[in-house]
Amino acid sequence: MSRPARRWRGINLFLRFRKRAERRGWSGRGYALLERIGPVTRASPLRRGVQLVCLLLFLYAFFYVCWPYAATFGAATFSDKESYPVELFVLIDPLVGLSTAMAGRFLNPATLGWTAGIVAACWLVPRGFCGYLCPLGTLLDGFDWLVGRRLRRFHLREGSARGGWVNLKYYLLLAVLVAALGGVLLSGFVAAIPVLTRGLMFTAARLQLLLLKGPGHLAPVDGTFYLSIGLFLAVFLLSLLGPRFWCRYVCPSGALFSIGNLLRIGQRKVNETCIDCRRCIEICPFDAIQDDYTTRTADCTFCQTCGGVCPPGAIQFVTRFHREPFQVDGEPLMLSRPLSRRALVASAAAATGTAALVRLSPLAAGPGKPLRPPGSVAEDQFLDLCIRCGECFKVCPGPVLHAAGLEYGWEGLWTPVARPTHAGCHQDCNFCTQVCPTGAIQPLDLAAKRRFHMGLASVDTETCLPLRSQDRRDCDVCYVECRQAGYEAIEMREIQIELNPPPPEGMFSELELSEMSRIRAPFVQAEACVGCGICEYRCHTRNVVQERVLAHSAIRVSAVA
Amino acid sequence: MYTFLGGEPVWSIRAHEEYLAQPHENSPTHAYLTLASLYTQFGEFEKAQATLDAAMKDIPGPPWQIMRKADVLDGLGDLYAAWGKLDEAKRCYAESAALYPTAKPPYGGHLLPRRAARVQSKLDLLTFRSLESAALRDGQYQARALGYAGDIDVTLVVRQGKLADIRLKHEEKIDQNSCVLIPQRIIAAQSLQVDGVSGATVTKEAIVDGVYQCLKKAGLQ
Repeated sequence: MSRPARRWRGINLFLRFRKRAERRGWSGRGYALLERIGPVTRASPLRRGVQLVCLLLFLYAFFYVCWPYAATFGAATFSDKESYPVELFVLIDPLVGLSTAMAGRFLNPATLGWTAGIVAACWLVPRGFCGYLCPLGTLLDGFDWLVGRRLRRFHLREGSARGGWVNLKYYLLLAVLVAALGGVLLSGFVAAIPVLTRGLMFTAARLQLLLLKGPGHLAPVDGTFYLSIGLFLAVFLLSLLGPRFWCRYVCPSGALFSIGNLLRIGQRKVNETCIDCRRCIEICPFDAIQDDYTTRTADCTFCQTCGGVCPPGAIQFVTRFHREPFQVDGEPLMLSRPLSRRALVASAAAATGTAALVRLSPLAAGPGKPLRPPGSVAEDQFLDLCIRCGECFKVCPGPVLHAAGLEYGWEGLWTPVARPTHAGCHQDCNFCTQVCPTGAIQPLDLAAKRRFHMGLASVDTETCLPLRSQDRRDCDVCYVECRQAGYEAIEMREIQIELNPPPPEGMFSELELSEMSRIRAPFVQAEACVGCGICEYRCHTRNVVQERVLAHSAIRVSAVA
Repeated sequence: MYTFLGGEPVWSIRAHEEYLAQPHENSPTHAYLTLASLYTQFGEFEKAQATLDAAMKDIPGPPWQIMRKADVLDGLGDLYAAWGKLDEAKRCYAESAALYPTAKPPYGGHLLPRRAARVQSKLDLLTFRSLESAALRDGQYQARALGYAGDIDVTLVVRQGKLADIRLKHEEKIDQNSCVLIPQRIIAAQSLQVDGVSGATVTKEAIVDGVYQCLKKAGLQ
């Protein structure tokens, strides 16, 4: 205090509090305008700016870069747009990298690099991911701004807000990691960014498809569709219990950062000019300030709102090693409540139980294997790497890829499956292989994608119009389609038709008899077939939907055993 | 025995006449048709007509009846078209094209759509022969064609006898912009013979087909 001029100012990003008398001139008007938007925005406008930029980048990637319907279609369609990586926000969710590495037993330098990078960055700005970057957090802030601040009826009161469940996120995190160690990936259901991308996938992305392309593009829905939307809505509705409720108490990705805060460098500190006005405690959106004004360091996201509302400017954001001249009444508590050993054991046990149930019970997958996107790793590993973020459905034209329901067991829920009855995998598209953040779908260039065998087509000889024994018809739609796509995996061969009963003597000319007893029928060349399903889509559209001569497609693609 | 026999039609006519004069257990419709077409080639239209009338009387019973009737109507259409009786020809072709899909032969059913399509294209050709001289009627015409991902509804606007506007309602998924380009090209060329867009052949053909249906409604029928 002896030489205040040399006092280290720290990384203070907030807008200093001004008394009414000081709010004059242009800057004063700006201050008042920000105050009208909201006290949190006014207190820390720079943070709001960063949040908005991140949200806009996320939405740009999700709705524009991942929109595959250009006027002319080809590999360039996406690679031009993909100078901006759409999977960036999934990658910087640390739970994505950590849990897929554990579940898949696969040290992926790409995902783990991002995980390590973001966690390390958050040592400087503790939980900065939650306060500044996370688009879900920003949307939740928006929800609070629109709804939450007007509807306070359901807010939990001070007293009840300190129950043992405030540590729910740690138990969830432990459960997810234990399950991942057991080889079952549950993180996709609860990790922040996958919850957001998948939630948007089932809501706003469907609206985008409906409005810009038409109802024919929408995938049919089942119960699990509503389950996902319900999960997404629940994340928002939790905010009615208090601002950023999901982020504070539930989000396991946030829990990882909270634990990372043990190694934090930056920290919020209060000096002795504090006038004990409690404004910081009341405004803190993360409930990270205790009654003695010290910080719950596990919860503080460095949003610096408190700094901006503090009348004497007693709150500073400095390093944890700065002691003078800050008030240090004992080391600040890491957690508001100690973790319950019983709850930890229970969550680990629950995770083990869930993993076992998912794998071994009747809820496990049946005998059928799903048709995975091109470039997918082997099915066992696929389930351990796929984070269920839905980016591949979003970028898939048609779309061919849809979220699986429960037809492949609980473990397959919301993983991508190709549905050739809805569209065929386009020969000039490798988009899904480019967006997968975790490597469940390996990146393939177009030439490699066109050689990748995702499945195999087979012709049902009882159904196929030229091949079936009753009421034969000429048909070569699958052949034409395959040929035009450049695969040439279907061949039309002439087959003989037995004329039974023999035709009446002399009623037909030789030429007529010869025409009657021959027909050209499709045959699949297994080594050339990549299983893209365009033949099935064509047969289904022409013969089932348009002409209504078949009950189901006569050529069908299934996963290679 | 009853073929054209190496490009000697005169000899072939005599062979067929002799063959048909013999008694037959089963109706030799094919022989009547060949003979009629030979007569038509030589301009002996009355004889050809008599032959086809005889064929119609000597039609086989079920299950071959409908198919053979459509065959004879097709032959009659050919005859009238060569004879210059265009209205008669169109009537016969139209009847034939309508009959083929209703036939239920025990085998050879796969030939019926082929024959129906062949008759239909002959009918269209005749219609277009008269269309060339006939101006298109102004107005809006609608038709539906089978696209790649679903039906394509085509609306054609004719103004001052020309193709003025083509509007599409479609659900094509990846159309390589052909739902915009093909109508533009058709209007620019005032013709259905336009280049397609690679990767969207089915869509192009569907649009052309839809516009063609509309044109038939706009022109003489």
